[in-house]
Amino acid sequence: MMSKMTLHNNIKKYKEGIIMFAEKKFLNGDIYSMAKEGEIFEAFAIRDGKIVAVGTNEEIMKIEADETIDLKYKTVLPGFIDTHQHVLSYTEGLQAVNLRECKSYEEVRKKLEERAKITPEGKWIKGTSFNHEQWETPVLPTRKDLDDITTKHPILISRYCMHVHVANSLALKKGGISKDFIPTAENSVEMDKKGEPTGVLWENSVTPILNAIPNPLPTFEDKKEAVRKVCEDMSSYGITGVTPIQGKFCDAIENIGIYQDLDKEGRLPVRVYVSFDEFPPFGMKSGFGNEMVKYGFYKIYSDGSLGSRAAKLFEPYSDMPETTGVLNYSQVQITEMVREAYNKDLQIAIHAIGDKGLDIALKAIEEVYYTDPKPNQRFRIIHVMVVNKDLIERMKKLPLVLDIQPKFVSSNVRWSEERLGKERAKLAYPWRTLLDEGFIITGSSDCPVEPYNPFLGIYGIVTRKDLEGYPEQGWYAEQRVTVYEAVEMYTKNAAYASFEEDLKGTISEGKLADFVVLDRDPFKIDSDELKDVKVEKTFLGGKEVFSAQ
Amino acid sequence: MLLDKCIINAKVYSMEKEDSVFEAFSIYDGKIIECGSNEEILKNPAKEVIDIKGKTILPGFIDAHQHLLYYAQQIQTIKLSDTKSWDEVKEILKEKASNTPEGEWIHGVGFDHQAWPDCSLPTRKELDEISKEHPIMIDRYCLHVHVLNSEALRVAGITRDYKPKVDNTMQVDENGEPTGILWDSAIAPVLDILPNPLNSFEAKKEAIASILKDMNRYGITGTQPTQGKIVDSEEFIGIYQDLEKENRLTVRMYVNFDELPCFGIKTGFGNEKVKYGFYKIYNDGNLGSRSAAMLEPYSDKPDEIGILNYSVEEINEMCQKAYDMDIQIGIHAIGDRGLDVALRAIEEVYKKNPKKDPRFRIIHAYITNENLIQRMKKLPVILDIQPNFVATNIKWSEDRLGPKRVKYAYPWRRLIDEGLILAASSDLPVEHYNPFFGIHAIVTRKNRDGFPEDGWYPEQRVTPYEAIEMYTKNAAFASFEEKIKGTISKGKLADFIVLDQDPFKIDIDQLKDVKVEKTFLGGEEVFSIF
Repeated sequence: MMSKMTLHNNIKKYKEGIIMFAEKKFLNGDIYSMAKEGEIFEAFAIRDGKIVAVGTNEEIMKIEADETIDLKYKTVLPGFIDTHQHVLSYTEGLQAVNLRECKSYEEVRKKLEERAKITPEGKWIKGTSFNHEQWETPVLPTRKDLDDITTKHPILISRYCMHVHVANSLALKKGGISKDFIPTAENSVEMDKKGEPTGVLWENSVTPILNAIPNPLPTFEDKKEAVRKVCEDMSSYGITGVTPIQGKFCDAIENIGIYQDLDKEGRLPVRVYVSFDEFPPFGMKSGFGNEMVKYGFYKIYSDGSLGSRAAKLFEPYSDMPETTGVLNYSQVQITEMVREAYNKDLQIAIHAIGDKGLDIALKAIEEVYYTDPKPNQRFRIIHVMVVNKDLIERMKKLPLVLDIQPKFVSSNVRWSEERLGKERAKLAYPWRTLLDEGFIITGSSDCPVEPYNPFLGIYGIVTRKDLEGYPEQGWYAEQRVTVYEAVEMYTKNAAYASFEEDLKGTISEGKLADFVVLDRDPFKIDSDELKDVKVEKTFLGGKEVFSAQ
Repeated sequence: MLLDKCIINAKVYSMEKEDSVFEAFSIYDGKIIECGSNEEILKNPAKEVIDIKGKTILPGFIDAHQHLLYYAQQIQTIKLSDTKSWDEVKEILKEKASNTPEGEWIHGVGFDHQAWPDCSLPTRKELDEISKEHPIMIDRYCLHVHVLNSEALRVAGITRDYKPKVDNTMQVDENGEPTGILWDSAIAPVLDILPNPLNSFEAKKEAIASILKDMNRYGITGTQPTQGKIVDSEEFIGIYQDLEKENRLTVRMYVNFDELPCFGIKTGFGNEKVKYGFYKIYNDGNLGSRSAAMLEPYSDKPDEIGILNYSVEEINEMCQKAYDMDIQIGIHAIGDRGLDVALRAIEEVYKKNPKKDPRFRIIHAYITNENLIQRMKKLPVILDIQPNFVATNIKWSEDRLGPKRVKYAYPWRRLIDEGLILAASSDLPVEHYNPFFGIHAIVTRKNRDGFPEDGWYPEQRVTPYEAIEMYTKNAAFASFEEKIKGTISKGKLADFIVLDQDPFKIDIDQLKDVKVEKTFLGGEEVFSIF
């Protein structure tokens, strides 16, 4: 038996930091812990996938480790967490014709014609991510335009927001959308003067067509491989965590089994918090799973998007005074959905873009939460693009996390003011105001709506310019946030949103060793340069999952 | 490196293989770092050194089949499991009726008429003598047989015109009136209206928490709660998930359901504490109530051959669906015909598309024959057996089965010799969860009163090592967790128990008396007798 004396000596040695053992130690870094502003370390050590010590080179050097890595005074940040994506839907979209970069309908037409040439007759052609707002003539095409491309293939093209779609005549026919079609939401099928569908479809009126399109990734293995590739690509942008979200509603399915299998095979390079717009089985609650794959929240879609004028506003759109947008549910329905999820102890996240969309989301939460306040609730409001003073005051009283898309402001600089008018635009993408009011805001891409490179988001929210640098002074520049605040949204705050703040989001002792090494220091460069920051290495649980070399 | 704990001066049976015995091992971060001699282990410093003083250490026990939430609910009801006669039951229920407001349910659970002198089931008439003002229901311990009084039949709307889902699951008298005896799913209308004693989530959770503490007393560190909606036994992953979050989950869970999951979830989703397990299919009934499906009639009731809950096509389809979803499949099969149908379904789906490591589970597997044994050997199956059943059922098994079939009943020695993997369980609430009761039963093939003296068909006895394997290594294998638990070896979870005596060195009749002194889960002490 070991004597008490020996034991005591060993504890002393341990406390002196002489005999502690680690797998890797990282020295000579510019390590921004993100735990608080100004906290910078030189070095840290990891073991079993976790950070076991942070400190100066001198302190960390004392620790015994199998491997020592010289960071060469590069900048290290916690791994980025993207709090809102439609991963599986994005992988399916990758099989379609990507129309994101098209600058005119002519370009769209050319791309679709090329695809039609190589596609057997009768097979579907799907186009994704067009944005007519950035075309020379910002007008939506109709079925007639698409019929000019082909009448032998059904065609469906979807706007990048996934809330607006255009179908050709054959696609309408396959989806059973004729003059007699009654959509579940009013006015979501555009009709011409004769009462015939023009081919333009909003929101879930597209569902019958989507249901008619065969899945481009038919087998589970196809899906899994496609998801793996996308996750690996995310690693190259420093993403170590993501919240994939199912919106059955807009045909974006998710499947926990895919991530579960990839994890089992040791091929999942990002942690996932998979969320659904349906209730879970077996009395499962939010957070069930392990550090790699967890079941996340219950999502409710309150309204549509701003670009398609489907976001629900109190007052009509400034550039289309006959519409105020679309609500997907009545107040009573939303409140009931929130109540049911709340009673099941699920985290609740509500998509709310317009001010009215936000109002009914808040009413539902207020009703349910104030009737039975439970501790440590983190209701999530997704998007929150248009607010007003009353909404801000009400939000302040609730335990909310706001899942925003930092890049939206930059993608939408050219048309947001037209949609909203000057007065409302002041409180559109009101990130500075909301931070000053004390809200916890997280960063996300809403992929496939925006690309998932976090530095595009950080650039967007810090500069409030588009990628071409327009407008020069930034769009409503008083709503700018700092680089630190922007990075916080993708790290510490994002971890908080999924109840994982004790596990990740900062570089601190005891947390998972998820971190990135950058090619330059984002806190020290000109803000216009933020979009060009590159990730050199990404580590997940202490393992290198990406290296630029 | 500074370790969390060194466990020294012990007799550690690793259960990796029969002669693998160590003196000591070390623990860090909930896992076993190294096993070896005292000297080897003490080379590295630890925050704590625990001297076991020569006592025996085994891996923590895993009970591979329980109905935990059901048990929690049942212990809120009237316990009839120790009654030795109908008169005793009557006494207990009368007492309860005298202090229960009229109209409220009286629910007795766990009787076994086979243990009574006259071995006959009561009917509604006998229950009516206790009370006509209270609806009364009593459940046999197997949960497949229920007796109701007239008031209970009335409030449940069960009359002569009631058509149960499965034929012959309601007994009627010569006039066609229900006698009050119902089997299996025929009980559904009663379950719909029976008030739940644990009606809030919190009440359920607290009841579970206290049972888990008690399981730790018996050395259990892992269990597999199983939902059987068909017998009204529900499970909720959220209960275990919450207890884990509150750091009160002292038993690891592999939770199974007789429904399929959504979200594309597969078997094993979860973490080392709580996982989603398998998809359970209830194929037939049980032997005691003669509802286990047999190829030939029951020897003591030649007009009965038992009940299949589904057609062969239905079972095949259920298996196929779960198999395609990559979900582990567990099929309840007690009678030889029940087993035949289960194996056919597995053969059908597996041979069409053999997957790498599916580990089909057959739950119970009491009655086999040469043909069934040969077919099982060709399939990747694990048998989830209940070691204690042989002891409990000694008095009537031979009557039910007759001299020929009985040789293939509880045929554990034979199945092990054939190379099949057996995992052990209590089927709680059917049997108590003390693993040493099970180990005693399967090793001696006697009941705890020592009957029969030479063991019941003693040629089917297994060794204590084999019995303990069923509760440790094999049970971990059944849930695809052999790499993280089930033995005491490097890298595995530090789930282990300290015993008051060495089960490999005592007389086998004493096995039932072995006591657990300490239980550790992930290196933390969760129970100590001291």
